[in-house]
Amino acid sequence: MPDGRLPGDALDSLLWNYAEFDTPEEVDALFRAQRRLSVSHALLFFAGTLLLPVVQTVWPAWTTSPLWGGLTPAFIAATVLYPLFCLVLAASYTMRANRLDEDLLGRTLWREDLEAPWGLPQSGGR
Amino acid sequence: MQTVALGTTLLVLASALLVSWLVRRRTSTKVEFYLAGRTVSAFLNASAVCGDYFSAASFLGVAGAVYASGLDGVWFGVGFAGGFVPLLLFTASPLRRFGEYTLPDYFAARFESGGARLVAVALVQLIVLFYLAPQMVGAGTVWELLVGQGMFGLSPYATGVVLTAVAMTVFSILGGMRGMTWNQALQFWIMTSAMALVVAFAFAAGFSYTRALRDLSAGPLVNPERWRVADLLRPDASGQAPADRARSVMSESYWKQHVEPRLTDPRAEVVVLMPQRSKLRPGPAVYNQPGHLYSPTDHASLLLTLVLGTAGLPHVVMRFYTNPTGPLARRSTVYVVLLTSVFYWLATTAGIAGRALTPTAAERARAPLPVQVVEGLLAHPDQILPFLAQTLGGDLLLGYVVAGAFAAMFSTIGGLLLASAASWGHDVFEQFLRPDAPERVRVLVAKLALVLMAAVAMVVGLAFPRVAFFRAFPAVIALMVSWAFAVSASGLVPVLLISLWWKGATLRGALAGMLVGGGTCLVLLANSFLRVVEAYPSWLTGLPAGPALPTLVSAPLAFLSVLVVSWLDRRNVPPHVDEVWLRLHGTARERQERLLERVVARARVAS
Repeated sequence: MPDGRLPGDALDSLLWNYAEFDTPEEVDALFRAQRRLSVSHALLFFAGTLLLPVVQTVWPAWTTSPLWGGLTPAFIAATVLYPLFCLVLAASYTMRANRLDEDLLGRTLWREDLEAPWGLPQSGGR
Repeated sequence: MQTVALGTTLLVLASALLVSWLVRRRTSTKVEFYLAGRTVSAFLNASAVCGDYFSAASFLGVAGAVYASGLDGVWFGVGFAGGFVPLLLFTASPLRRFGEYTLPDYFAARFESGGARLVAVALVQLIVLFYLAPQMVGAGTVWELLVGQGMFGLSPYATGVVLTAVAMTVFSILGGMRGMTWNQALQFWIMTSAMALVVAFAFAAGFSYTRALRDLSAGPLVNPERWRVADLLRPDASGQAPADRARSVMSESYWKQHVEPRLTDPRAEVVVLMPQRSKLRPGPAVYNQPGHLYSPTDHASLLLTLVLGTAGLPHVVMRFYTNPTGPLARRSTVYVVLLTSVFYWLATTAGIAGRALTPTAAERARAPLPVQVVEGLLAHPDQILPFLAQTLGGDLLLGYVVAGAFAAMFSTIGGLLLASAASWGHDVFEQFLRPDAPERVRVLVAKLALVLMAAVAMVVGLAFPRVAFFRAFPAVIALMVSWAFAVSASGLVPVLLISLWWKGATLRGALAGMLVGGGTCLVLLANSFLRVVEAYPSWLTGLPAGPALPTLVSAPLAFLSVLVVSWLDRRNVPPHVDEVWLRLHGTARERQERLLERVVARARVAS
C-alpha cells in the first residue's frame, strides 16, 4: 500500500480493487502539453523581465520623465506593473496546468463484480 | 540597551519555542522531521515559504538598498519576488510528485548515480553557507544596534551571532519541519505586520510617496562612504581629490567639526558624503533613475541571478516537498508570488520613506540608537528600518521591528539548517555510510548534522570581514544573499530544469553542468571577494573585475554544458528514464493517496 498507510484490514481488499493508474503514453502526452505550457509562459516571463533593463538603456524618457510626482514609467514598472505581471502569469499558468492534469490523466480501474464503496464511481474511465 | 525592544524580541523567541515544544512528539519519524508528513495546506505552506525565504536580506536589506540607491535598490525586491515564477513553471509540481526529501535525492534517482548526489550535496552546502553568512552578519549587526552589549566576554556583534546560532539550533532540533512550518508562518506574519506598521507610521507622519520621490530626485544622489584618509586626499587622473568632491556636497560646519580633525592621520578612516556617479549614462546618479548600482549588464545579471536562483535554493525547494499534491504545490506558489509582491512593495516604500524622513527624524529620536548619521543620512543603510521605527513609533515599534528582523533571520536560518541537515543526514549518511540504519539513528544523525552546521555558520558569521564589505557596498546584506542565488542559478538550476523536462539529459551532461556552472560562478565570486578584502594576488591584478554577479556568464555556460555534453553522450540516456517520468509527471500516485485518505476518513466515521 502506498506510503505504508494502513486503513484497516476490512478495507484493504476494496481499496486494492479501485486503483488509480497512468500509462507511460498518457504521461508522455501530459508531459509534452505541460512543457509547451511552461515554456510559453517562461518565454513571456523572461521577455518581460529582461525587457526592463533594455528599455531603460535605449529609451531615456522611460527613466527620466516623471508621470506623477517623482514616479517615472521605470519606477511604476518596477514597483507595480512587474509584480502584477508575475502574479497574473502565475495564476494563469496554475489554472491551465491543473486543468491539463485533470483532462489528460485520471483513469481508474474498478472490478465490476464488486460494489463501489462509499459513493465512488463504479466504472473505470476518466 | 533598548529594554522594550529586547523584551519584544524575547517574546518572539518564546512563542517560536512554544510552537516547537507543542509539536515535538510528532517528529519521531524521518518524513515528519524533514517534511512535516507531507500534509501542509497550501496557504500555510505559502506563509512558511515566505518566512523561510524572507531573510535579513529581505527585511533589512531591501529597505536598505532602496534607501541607498533608489530604483536600483528596488530591483532586489522585484527579483526576489519574481524568482518564484520560474520555480512555479518548471519545478514546483514535478519535484513534489517525485516525492523524495532533498534535491540531491532527485539528482541521484534521475541519473542513477551516487556521484550526481555527491556533487549536488556539495553545491547545496555551499548555497546554505552563502545564505547563512549574511543572516549571521544581520543577527550580529541588529544585536549590536539593539543591545549594544556583549555577553560571556564577547563583543556585541559576536554575542548576536552566537545567541542566534544557539537559539536556532534548539528550535530546529525540537520542532523539525512541522515545528519549523508553524514557526516560519508565524514569523512571516510578524515581519510583514512590522513592515506594514513602519509604513503606516511613515504615512501618518506626513510621508507622501510621489512627493518624496520627486524631492529626493531633484538633485544628484549623495551617499555616505567610508574612506581611508590617504585615499581621500590622493588626487585622481583629473587632478581632483575625492575629498574635494565630498566637500562640494557637505556643509562647511560638518566638515570642519567632524572630518577635518581626522585628516592628519593618513591611516584613519572617515565617513563623508560623496556624490554618486551613474553607471548607465554620463553624469551623476539620480534617486528615481537606474544607474547607481548597475550598468545594463550588471542589471541583467542581477535579475537573472534572482529569478533563476530561487528555483534551486535547497530550503525553499524542500518546502515544496511538504505539499500534499502537485496542484497544491502550484497553488501554494501563486500565494507566495502574491505575498512576496505585497511584502516587497512595503519594504520598498519603507526604504523611500526612510530616505525622505531621516533628516528630520534624527532630531526627534528620544533615546537614539547607536547609528552613525552623516548630515541626515545613515552611514549603514541596513539600519534604516529599526532607525525609522524608533524615531516614528518609539521603543514599542522599534521592539516589534527588531522582533521582525530576528524573525526573518530565525526562520531562514532554521530552514537552511534543516535543508543542510537533510543533505548530510539523508544524502550522505543514509546513502553512503549506513544505509541499514534504523529510523531512530537516522533522525539522530540529522539532528547532529544540524548542530554541526549551526556551528560552522556561527564561525563564518564571526570570521566574515564585514568592515571591508561595509566599506565597499552600501547595502551588503542583500548583496551577500544574492551570492547564494548566483551559486544556485549557475550550479543547480540549469541541470534541474533540463533534466526535469528533457529525457535526453545524461549523467555526464548533468555533472558537466553542475561543475562548469558552479565552478565558474565560484571563481568569479572569489575574484570579486578577494578584491573587496584587498587580498587579491598581485600576479592577477591585470584580470578584469567582471560583472557584479557572475550569473550572466556562468548560467548560460552551465545550460550549454548540459545540452552539449548530453547530446554527445546521447547513447547513455538512463535506461529507467520512463519510470522516472511516471513519477515526475504522472498523477496516479497522488490520486491514489487522496483516495486512500477519503476512504480512511469514511471508515473512521463509519466506525
